[in-house]
Amino acid sequence: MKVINLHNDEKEWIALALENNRHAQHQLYTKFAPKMLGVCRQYCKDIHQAEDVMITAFMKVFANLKHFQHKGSFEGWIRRIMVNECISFLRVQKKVRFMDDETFFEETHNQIESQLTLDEIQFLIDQLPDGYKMVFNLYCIEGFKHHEIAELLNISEGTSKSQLSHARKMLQQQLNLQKKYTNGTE
Amino acid sequence: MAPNNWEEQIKQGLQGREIQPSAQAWDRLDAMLTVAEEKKTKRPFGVYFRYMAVAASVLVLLSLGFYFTSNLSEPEANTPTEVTQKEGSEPQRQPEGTTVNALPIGTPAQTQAVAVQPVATKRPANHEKSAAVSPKKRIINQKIIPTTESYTATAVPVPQTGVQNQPVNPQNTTGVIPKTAVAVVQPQLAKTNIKVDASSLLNQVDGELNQSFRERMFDRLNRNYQSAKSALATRNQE
Repeated sequence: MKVINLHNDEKEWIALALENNRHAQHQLYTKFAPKMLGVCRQYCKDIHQAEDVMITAFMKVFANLKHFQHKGSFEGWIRRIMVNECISFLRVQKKVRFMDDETFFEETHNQIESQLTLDEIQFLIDQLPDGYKMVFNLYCIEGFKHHEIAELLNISEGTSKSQLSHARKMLQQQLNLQKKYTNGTE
Repeated sequence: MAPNNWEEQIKQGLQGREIQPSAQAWDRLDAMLTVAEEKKTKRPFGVYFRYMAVAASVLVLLSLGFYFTSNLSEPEANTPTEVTQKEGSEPQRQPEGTTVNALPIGTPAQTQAVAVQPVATKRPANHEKSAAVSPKKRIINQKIIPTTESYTATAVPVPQTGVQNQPVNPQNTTGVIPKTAVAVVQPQLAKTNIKVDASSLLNQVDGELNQSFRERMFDRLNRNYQSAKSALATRNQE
C-alpha cells in the first residue's frame, strides 16, 4: 500500500512538473538526484563535472517530461537520459577515441575472497581509460547489449567487444595487484 | 567455470550507489529552469514581432516602389499639357490655349500690329513710358523676327499694368484685363520663330527633379534602415 502511494505521488509530481510547478520539480529532483549523481560519477572522474552533467541532464528531463509515456519506470527513463548526457559530455570533451581494434583477450575467471568497498570499486573504475570505462559501464552495469552499445557510441560491435575485453583484463590486473598488496607478497 | 565474482560486486556496488549532490546544485538547476521558462514565454512574442517586422518592411518597400513608379510615370503624361500652358509660343500648340484661340490668328505681323496699337493709345493717359514702349514694339514688328532680348524688352512694360509677374499665364490676363492679354499674345506670337525644344527642356528639368527626389528618398530610407537595424541590435543585446 505504501509503495502504491509513493508511485501515485511520483505520478502527481510528474503531472505538476509538466505545468512547471517548481515544488514538484524539486520533489522529483530530491528523490532521484543522489542516484543519478552516482550514475554520472561512474563516467566522470571529477565529482564537480559529474554534478554539472547531472544538472544539464535534469534540465533535459524537465524539458522532455511531456514525452514520458508512463510505460516504463520513471527512474529508468531518467537514468537513460543521464547516461546519454554523460556520453555526449565525454564526446564534447574529446576524451573518448575508439580505435577499430578487434583483439580479444582470453577471459580468466578469478575469484576474490574479500568484499570490495565502494571506494575501491570507484578507484578501479577510475583507472580505466574513458573508452574502456564507457563500454564496461554500459555493458556490465546498465545491461546494454553489444549491438546497442555499438549503435549508441557509433562504433562497430567488434570494437565494443574488444573494448570490454580490454577493460576486463585491466580490471583483473588491478585486482591481482591489489591482492598482492593486501597479502604482503609485493 | 564460475563467473568473476568481482564483476558482480562492482555491478551491485555501483547500481545502488547514491552520492548526495551539493546544496548549490538545486539552486543552479532552479535558475536554469527559470531562464528557460522566461525564454519560452518571450519566444512567441519574439517570433510574432519578427514576422511583423518582416511584413512591415515588405509593405514599406512596396509602397516606396509604387511611389517611385508613379512619380516616374507622371512627368511623361503631363509634358504635353505643361508645354501648352507654359510654352504657348509654339505655333502648333497655340490653338490649344484659350487666349490664343480667342484671338484671330493671322500672320504674326498683322496681329502684332493690331495688338500693339490699342495699348499705345490707351496708356498715355496713365503712364508716360507707354510712348516709349510702343515704338520698340513697332520696331519689333517691322523686324518680324524677334530675338529673345526683344521678347524681354516687350515683356517689361506690360508688368506696369499689373501683369508683370504673370506673363506666362494667359488665362488670368484674358479673364481680368484684356489689355494685358493682348500684351501677352504679342510676345507669344513674336516668339513663334524661336526654336526651343520645350519638351526636352521640361524632361530634363523633370529628370533632375526626379533624380534629386530619388536620392533624397534613398538617403532617408538608408537612415531609417540603419536606425531600425541599430534598434534591433540593441534589443537583441538586452
